[in-house]
Amino acid sequence: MGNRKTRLLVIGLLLGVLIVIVYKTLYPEHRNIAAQSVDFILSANELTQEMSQSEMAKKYGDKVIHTYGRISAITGNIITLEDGVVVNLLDISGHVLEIGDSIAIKGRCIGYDDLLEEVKLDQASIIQE
Amino acid sequence: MPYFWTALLLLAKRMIKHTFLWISILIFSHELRAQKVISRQGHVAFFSYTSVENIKAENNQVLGIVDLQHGDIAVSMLMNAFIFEKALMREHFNESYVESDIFPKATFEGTIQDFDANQQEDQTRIVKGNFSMHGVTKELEIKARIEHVNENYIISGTFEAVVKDYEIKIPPLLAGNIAKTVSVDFRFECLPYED
Repeated sequence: MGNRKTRLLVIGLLLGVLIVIVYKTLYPEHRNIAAQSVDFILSANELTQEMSQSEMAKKYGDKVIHTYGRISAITGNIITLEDGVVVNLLDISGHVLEIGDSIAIKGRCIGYDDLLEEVKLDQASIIQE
Repeated sequence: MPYFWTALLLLAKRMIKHTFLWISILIFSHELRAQKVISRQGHVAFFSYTSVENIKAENNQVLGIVDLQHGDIAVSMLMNAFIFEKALMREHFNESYVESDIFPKATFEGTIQDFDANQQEDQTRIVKGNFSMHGVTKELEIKARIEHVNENYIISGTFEAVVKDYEIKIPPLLAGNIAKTVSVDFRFECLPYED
């Protein structure tokens, strides 16, 4: 009697673990850019220069980039570095940012917009002010 | 005497030339002042409804520029910036469907038909133009609503896009999960643009 109970319990547990594993592989978590390691480090000017060549989209696209430069514009949580890199910051609370400040950020490169000749980064966090 | 007339004629000519120049500068600078409006955080979302599952993706970093004088509109969106509910959907979308490493963005270039930038009331207009995605360009006619609030213009609307039109291949296994036609919502809050 007790034997059958333990067997059922073990099967149930295994089934549960299996379901969790299947679910995790089917639905992986979203990337946490702030916690991921940096793929490339380069200045805002270098990044704009690089991304203006269309064949570079493949190299930097969706990669984690550490970039730095002077702030040339601020709109809400979006800052522009050196008139060329538009950074969408996840959280600006606790930071006082002003135009002209030098800043280093880490974010995901989503691509280059040739309409305004800007590189775009999102899910960015401030590394150093 | 002939010399006097020649001199007078020259003077008159120069005055006319300068007047034209000044008038054109005046008109031109006046037009330049608020000729374009821009939206840097334009919103584009698409929805795919099937009996198996509903998929929704949003992009809040779409660029839109409107030339108020001619009603010309240019939109540019990066495919990588679409946010999905599930990370795997995003992966499939970027890697298999729109191939965003090869075709990183979608663009729309068109004209708002019969657009009147001075009209204060809301206007519903047809926007005619070319939409490019995944290396395919389609001519579209999209109905859009334009609200004019102070110096800002809010352009919004919905249209349907047929997945097959853009040569997007869905594996047979997932064919039931993704709609044949997705509905696309857009909203651009455009502010005056200075170069």
